[in-house]
Amino acid sequence: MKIVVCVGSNCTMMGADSIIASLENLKETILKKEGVNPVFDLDIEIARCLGECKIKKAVSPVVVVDGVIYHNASREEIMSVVLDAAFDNILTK
Amino acid sequence: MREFYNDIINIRRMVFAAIARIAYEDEDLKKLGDETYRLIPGEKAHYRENVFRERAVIGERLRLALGLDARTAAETGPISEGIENVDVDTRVYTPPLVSVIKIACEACAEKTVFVTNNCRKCLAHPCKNVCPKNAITIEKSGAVIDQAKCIKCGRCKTECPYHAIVEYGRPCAASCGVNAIKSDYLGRAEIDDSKCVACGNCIQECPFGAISDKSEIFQLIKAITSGKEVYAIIAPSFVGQFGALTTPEQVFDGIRELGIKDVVEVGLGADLTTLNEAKEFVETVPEKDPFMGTSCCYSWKLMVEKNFPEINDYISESSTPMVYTSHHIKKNHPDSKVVFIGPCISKKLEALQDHVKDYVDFVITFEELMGMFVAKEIEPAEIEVDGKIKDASVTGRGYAVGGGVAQAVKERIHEINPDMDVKVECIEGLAECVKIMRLAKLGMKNGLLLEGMACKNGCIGGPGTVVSAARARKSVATFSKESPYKSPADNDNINPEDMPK
Repeated sequence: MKIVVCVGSNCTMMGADSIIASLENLKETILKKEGVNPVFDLDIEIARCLGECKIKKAVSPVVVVDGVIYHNASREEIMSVVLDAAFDNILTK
Repeated sequence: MREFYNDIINIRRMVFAAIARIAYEDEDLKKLGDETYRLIPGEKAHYRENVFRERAVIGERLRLALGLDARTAAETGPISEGIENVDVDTRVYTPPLVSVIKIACEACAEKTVFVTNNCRKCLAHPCKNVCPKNAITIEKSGAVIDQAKCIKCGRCKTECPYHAIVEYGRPCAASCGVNAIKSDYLGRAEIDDSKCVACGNCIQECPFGAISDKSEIFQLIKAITSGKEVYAIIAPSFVGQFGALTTPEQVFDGIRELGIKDVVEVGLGADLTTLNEAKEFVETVPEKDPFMGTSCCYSWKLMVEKNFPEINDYISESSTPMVYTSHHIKKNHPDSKVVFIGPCISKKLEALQDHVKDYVDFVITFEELMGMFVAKEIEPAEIEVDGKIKDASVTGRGYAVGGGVAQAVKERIHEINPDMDVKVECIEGLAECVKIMRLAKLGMKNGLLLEGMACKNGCIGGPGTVVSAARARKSVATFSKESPYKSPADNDNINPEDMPK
């Protein structure tokens, strides 16, 4: 799973840093536990302003998860998307 | 920064960006009321019980950001009331700097012992049996504490096998190292200005976002747009604050794009503080003074002045990095205005002091600067830059992190006198600072160099920061190593006549 976190001015102001910190923390903690789908890999990338806030106001922070754009992303929303994918093998089988 | 208080942090920052935009676009301040609808649109509440209160609170925040006093519900008139007094291009705000937004305060109990619904109404009821005031009765719903009788000893809490009894106080008061938070007649928090040292801890800790300081961004931007020559001096903790991909050089260029003439690292003044404090320590400790306290954290300095007058003389007489750096600018550009940009709010108070006010014209925080970038749609990470910043030494840049000041002074003392063995103690957090000074007063810290920082982690943990201290620490360390000057004495930006003799 590839997550791109925008760290432009608007997104940094609205807490992009805390989203990155939460994802890094997940990588160090829950994603190291048993039960995680062995093929699951979390790739966190930071990006310069993705331009979303220039098209539409009040959308920061912006996070892109495997190509899907999240406006007004919250850390709990993104963390939950990650964990749903990471523990996919348990939920579906 | 209280990392998981997202909504409160974002509301605060949106207000800064809104005020910055109004100032840059020269909007009529009389229309400030419109801004509350822009910031809190629609009719559904997101943060509090209803949208009206949300708008009222953000209205007070907007006023505080303009430098006005916080009002109570009794005083709340038109939002633009008194606005003409702050529609200027010079510093206007007057103390108190930190105040409670009364209409946002939820009047949390000062200290309460409370039975939660974990209570199983058990037969043994040890809670009732240990209560020395016979304040607990077992009723249909479970154990009930008669608050009028309760002396908050907490014994029932310890004995309950179901952890059903909790003890809690006010987060604001718990975070205050100098016991400056009292209650008003409605049980809401009230700050005792005679005790407050403006560290900003309570601003970060209140879970209702009900405490705020005042801002000067509006007047600063007016000074810039009215054509004044404004120079920025930026505190060592700035590295990494403005986007994970933004370099320090890009931050400087971004600041210039805001209309500011030039930027200088406060690390330059930090080098002068190091040189002076080292000299002072070698000359005075232990012969004249039993110990020496550092002088750069204004909240720490103010705390000692207010609470420990008998040992106040042992705080270094050297000026703070902000003061030295502003002198440096005003010497070269006497007609200019200087804005200090930092992680700290107590610097706003320091800048009002008689010996500082003519040198530092404005003080803003990193959060407020971020608001200015957003208002002007500046993306520092996208600016192309040449060259490197070279204003400060390795240890001057290290001032940003707890322990950095003492480290700088110690290294410099070693340069002056390699045989001198200096013992240092670094204290982080205002409450801890008070404890150590109690011991110092009893003579238990003699011979030491004491570094006092009101914020945990030092300046990178300040109330005006944008990113977490852990991330800032790494960025500061990298930038510090890039300095071409190993010792503050090598810093050739300092005018030779300013060097301590």
